[in-house]
Amino acid sequence: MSKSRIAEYMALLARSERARKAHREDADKAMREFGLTDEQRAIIATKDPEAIKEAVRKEDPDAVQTLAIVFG
Amino acid sequence: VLTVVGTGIRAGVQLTPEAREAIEQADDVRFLVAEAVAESLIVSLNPRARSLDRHYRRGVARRVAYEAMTAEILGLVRGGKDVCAAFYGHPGIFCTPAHESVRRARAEGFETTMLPGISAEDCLFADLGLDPGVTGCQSYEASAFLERRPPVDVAALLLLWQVSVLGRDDYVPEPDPSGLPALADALLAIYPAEHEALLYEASPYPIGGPVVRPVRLSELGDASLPPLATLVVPPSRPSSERTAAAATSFPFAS
Repeated sequence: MSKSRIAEYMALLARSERARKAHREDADKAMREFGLTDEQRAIIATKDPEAIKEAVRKEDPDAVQTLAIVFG
Repeated sequence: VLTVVGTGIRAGVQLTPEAREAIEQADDVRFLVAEAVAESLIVSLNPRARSLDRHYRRGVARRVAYEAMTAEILGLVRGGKDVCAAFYGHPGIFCTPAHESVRRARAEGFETTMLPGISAEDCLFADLGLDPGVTGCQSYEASAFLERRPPVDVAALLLLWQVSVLGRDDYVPEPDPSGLPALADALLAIYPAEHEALLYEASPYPIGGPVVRPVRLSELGDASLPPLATLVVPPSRPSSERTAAAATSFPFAS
């Protein structure tokens, strides 16, 4: 489990159709119920993957993205 | 038995039902994904799943890592297990250990299947609103493009993959932009300096859009690279009236 709450929320959305439905219907409510702070909710609301990655990296420096090139 | 699957790019939402089943039902799973969210999803589907990313060593040729990944997968297959190897995107596209595992397992008489996944190229066409059928599409690994200098049809779309590791065959943990000026020079010999391309990276998350950075070819040498960026070069001239609109616009890029 990541030390980043943003990463945990993303992982929940990846796993759960019900969580994705709740997020689609009222993203702010779904994120509040998960326990995300105002700042964390604002970052996710941008839908900007670079901003989300950067925030995850700040919350959990070990959750580094792998430059997973598998060709060449 | 070996089943090689793709997980798609956006964690969870692009995993096909047949790939999910293969991961869940396998005796053992080995995987390589680019993001921790996708990793946690795969482990939640099968607790025996283990990442192959530990085979990368900074500064060591990537083919050494591919060989170690392939050897690990084959070792499990030879042990009589029902093995699933999962790679992000599509396992048959830009994925040496996936193809090599299938080739070797088949040569040794094991039952093997490769299941398609949603590739970065699939995401690119959807996110940017491009249809490769309209102008035609040329697609190259960026280092190979620079080395071979194939003839380019400027009336067709050009996609250059892996620009963040241009000229590097070793593992680097961060994008290396040092090869970009050479690529810019090569493209400026073909296209006008003011021609605008896009640096594109699909989102790895279940929500949100892609990273899209417009860049003039004259400024490509100094561009900032998303880690898994693809360079998208639109046609610089239409090949016919039918393709004129597609040649000059990126409908969803702005």
